Amino acid sequence: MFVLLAAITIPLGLDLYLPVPEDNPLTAEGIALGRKLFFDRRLSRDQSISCSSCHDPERAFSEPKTVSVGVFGRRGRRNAPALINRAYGRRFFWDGRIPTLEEQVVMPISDPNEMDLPLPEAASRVNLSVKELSQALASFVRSILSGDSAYDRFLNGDRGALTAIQQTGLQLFRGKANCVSCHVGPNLTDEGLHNTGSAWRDAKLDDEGAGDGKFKTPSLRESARTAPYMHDGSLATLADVVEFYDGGGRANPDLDPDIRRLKLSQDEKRALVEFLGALAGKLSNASQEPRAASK
Amino acid sequence: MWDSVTIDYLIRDNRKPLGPQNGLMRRHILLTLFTAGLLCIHAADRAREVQLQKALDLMQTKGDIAGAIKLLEEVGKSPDRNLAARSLLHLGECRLQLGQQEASKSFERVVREYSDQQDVAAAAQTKLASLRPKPVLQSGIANRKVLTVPDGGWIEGKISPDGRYVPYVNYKDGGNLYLHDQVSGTERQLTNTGNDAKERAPGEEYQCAHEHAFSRDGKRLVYAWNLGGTGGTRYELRVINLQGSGTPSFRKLFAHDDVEWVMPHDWSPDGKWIAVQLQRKDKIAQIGLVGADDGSLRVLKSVDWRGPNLMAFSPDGRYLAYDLAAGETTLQRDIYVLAVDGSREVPGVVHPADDTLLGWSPDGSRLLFASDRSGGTDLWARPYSEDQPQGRPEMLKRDIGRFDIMGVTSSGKLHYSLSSFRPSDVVTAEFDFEKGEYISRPVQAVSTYVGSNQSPDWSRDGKYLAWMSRRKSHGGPHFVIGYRSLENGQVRELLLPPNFYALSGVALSWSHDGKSLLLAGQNKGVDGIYRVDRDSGHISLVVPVQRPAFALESLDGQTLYYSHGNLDSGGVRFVKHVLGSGEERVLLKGNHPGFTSLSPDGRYLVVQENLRPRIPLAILLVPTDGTEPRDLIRVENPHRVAFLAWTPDRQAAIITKFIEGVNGETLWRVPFNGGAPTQLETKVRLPGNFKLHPDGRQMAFQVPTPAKPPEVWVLENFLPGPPANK
Repeated sequence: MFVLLAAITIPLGLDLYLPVPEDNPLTAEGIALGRKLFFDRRLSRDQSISCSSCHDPERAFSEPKTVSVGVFGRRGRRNAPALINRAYGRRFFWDGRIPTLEEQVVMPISDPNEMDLPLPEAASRVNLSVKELSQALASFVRSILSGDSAYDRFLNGDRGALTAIQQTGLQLFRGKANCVSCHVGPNLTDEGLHNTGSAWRDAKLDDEGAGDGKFKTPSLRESARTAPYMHDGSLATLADVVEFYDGGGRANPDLDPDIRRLKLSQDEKRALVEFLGALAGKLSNASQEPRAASK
Repeated sequence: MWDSVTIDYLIRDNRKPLGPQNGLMRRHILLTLFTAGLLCIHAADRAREVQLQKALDLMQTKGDIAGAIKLLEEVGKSPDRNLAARSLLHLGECRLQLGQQEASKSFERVVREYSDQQDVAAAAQTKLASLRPKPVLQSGIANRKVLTVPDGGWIEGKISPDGRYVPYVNYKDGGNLYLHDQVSGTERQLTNTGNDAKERAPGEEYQCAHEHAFSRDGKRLVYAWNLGGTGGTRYELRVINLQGSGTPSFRKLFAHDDVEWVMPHDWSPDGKWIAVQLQRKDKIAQIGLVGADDGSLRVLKSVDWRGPNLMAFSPDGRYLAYDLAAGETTLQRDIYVLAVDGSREVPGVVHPADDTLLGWSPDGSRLLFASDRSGGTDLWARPYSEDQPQGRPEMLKRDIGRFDIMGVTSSGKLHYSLSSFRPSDVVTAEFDFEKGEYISRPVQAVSTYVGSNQSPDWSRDGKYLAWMSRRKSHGGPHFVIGYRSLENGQVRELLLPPNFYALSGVALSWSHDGKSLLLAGQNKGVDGIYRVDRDSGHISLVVPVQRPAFALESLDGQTLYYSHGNLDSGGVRFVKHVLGSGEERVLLKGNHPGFTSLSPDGRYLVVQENLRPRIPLAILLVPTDGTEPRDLIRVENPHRVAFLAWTPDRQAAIITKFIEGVNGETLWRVPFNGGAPTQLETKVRLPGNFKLHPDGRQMAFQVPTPAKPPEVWVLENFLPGPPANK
């Protein structure tokens, strides 16, 4: 563990260097303010939902619905991604269209299908400027870190941290299944955009994503509790995800060349799922709703 | 069998060299060619060609530069690379006339993105050279060679902080680490258990030294030690105390189960930390610090697959500068400065050019780097103070070339090494196998990047000759596949992704239909057999497999045959892989088999059975249906035998028999379907690895070019006074 400026603790397995913009340094105050705002329902038009409505701390800041439901029951198009280790992110949203966390965190507030509140009004409701609102929320999201999992302990020398089947899963993950072609590094994502065929239905592309059906590789940390999966929440369980990739994704003209049929046995599929379970770690800042938060 | 001594008859390409006079003429011809356009162009490109001419008319005779720019930008979108390159070149010329800084960017783009359009790229390079700024200091800089590394030595690390000691790995002595004392001129052996290329007892692990770095007081040296290992290369860090004499005992400092390899770059000024680059087993590269006393690891940052070329502590020890590729698809690097406590990072040098770190000035006031931003590769400095880079970079010296940095000494001398890795060229010749004589003598087949070309192969329809070119950059080698059409002589180059590393000594082979090429390599750290599309250059993984060595398609293209593994990983396996189903079968397994060809009927792999490396005693025919191999020919020790090619009539193999180190090798014709071998009446020696064209006459092969031993050079007096505070 490594303490960064006393504001947050970097858990085992993550890089010590946490990218933080020079104009929004991580401070305990900033993170605390961001936490309050994260749970603040005043940031939605009808004050019915907050960021946490779709990013539940109990589910590693994800939600169980396939796609998010915003104010007045409006349905979004995509599944709410888990907000894990986004401090290390290089692009945001499933389609990776936003380059900074400061920009990303306020977009759901103004999105008509989510919180549907113009940003100046949202900021005014909480007596902040739009910049302060964005910076505080970004600081809080930046502080949500997951590490020190059984996987991390295993990699750092605790040979008993993974069960035998999980170790088999790790070997498959890095070998035959070649999951590491995208899910790589401490955060188990290349932050890249890939077409796995997940947006193809009946030989039609139903979501362009970042273009040609490409979507950002999500981190697999905490994935055992972030169901459902894929950009549209179309796969209910990790076993379904493994099955999807075992079949080579969904064929389409722009399928990523690294997606191929894996020919895994049932035991191998089970081992992969078991291994993914070992990516659950200690979630920093996963605290419950602050007591003082406005309802 | 085929070494530099025996290729004295090699005839170089008989085209005239580019001297000053015919260079001018050639430029004139080039310009004429540029403006005349290609003879055969499609209608759309013909229209663009007309537009290009119109743009040139606007630029050269009417003085309407803005109008010309507009047209040239449009023409630049042409899919015809020659047309696009020419329009970009002229675009740069227009911008130059307007005094726009973008001019150099246009020329840089031509050089970077259209290197296959060699004449246009050369013209752009000339333009860039004329635009280059002048160095800050123009006199007093000294650049001199200080050492020719002893025979078998290879520079892999840094010089001592006082510049006195040069460590090197001696591959003539098993890959052991040696130290050359520049004052006394003596060599000191630092390790003695390296066994690279040595005969090893069963179970004995491979061992060899690699990268190394001195502590700032020069008393300790940390080095990477390669321990082989079955699941991939396994490295550890070892530390030795250099005080005293003789071979010092080492202290194992760091080893990690999840780390495939580790490379020390620099030792912190306070002696507490060693900056290391790690490659994890998931192939991610990381920048880390290893405690010099307890071996503890702090991972500061995970980066791309290639990692930094150099990491260097700032003189105050608070920062670590490093360079990194600017993206997955580029060779260009940028430089960053990372706080060693992980608290912040600032861009040191971020620019579209290729900027590679060379170190810090001893007072910490400048970041030193090599950059091609002005056309050539020059030495630059970026002022650095108050924890930030300050002001604009300044050029310190022009044309430093491409080298391997060995460090900046405490007195401000920059040391570097020059070396060439197994230089080779591709040669073609015509040979009459009936008469046993050359029809035409060998000539160099590839006239660009001489000394960098290897692994030739003819396409099965005989229309193309392909080769691999391994090119040097500050950030490690990059690989290009070249191929020439035998019909029209046109050469095309396929730049492999920067993340791709072609494994040394591995053959390139055409697919059955000539539409792609197969090679063994590593992309983003993943070992395997890769396919490269002949037209698009797109690369895809066919089979992920550790330590691949050879790949060959069956005659119908339905099956892939490949070999992988080595003695350390339980032997070499020859595998039949059904493309489509992915079904695999091991056809042969052994300790030292090598070199593969396919029999003319496609029913056998031809494998050389080696008793030990370089001791071939038999040529085996390995049935592709998985049945038992049979000998094509076998000899008794001390005789050797090697497969060369199939005869033009495809009924027999041409093989050579010899005794290692003894003159008098003989060529033999061995019937494929049995029958007595017959000796060919010839005294001509044939190269051991040639590829025969389907016409049965033309041969292509790789020849080693005479390699100069690595040299150590020093650059002195290049630092100006302290930069002005901005």
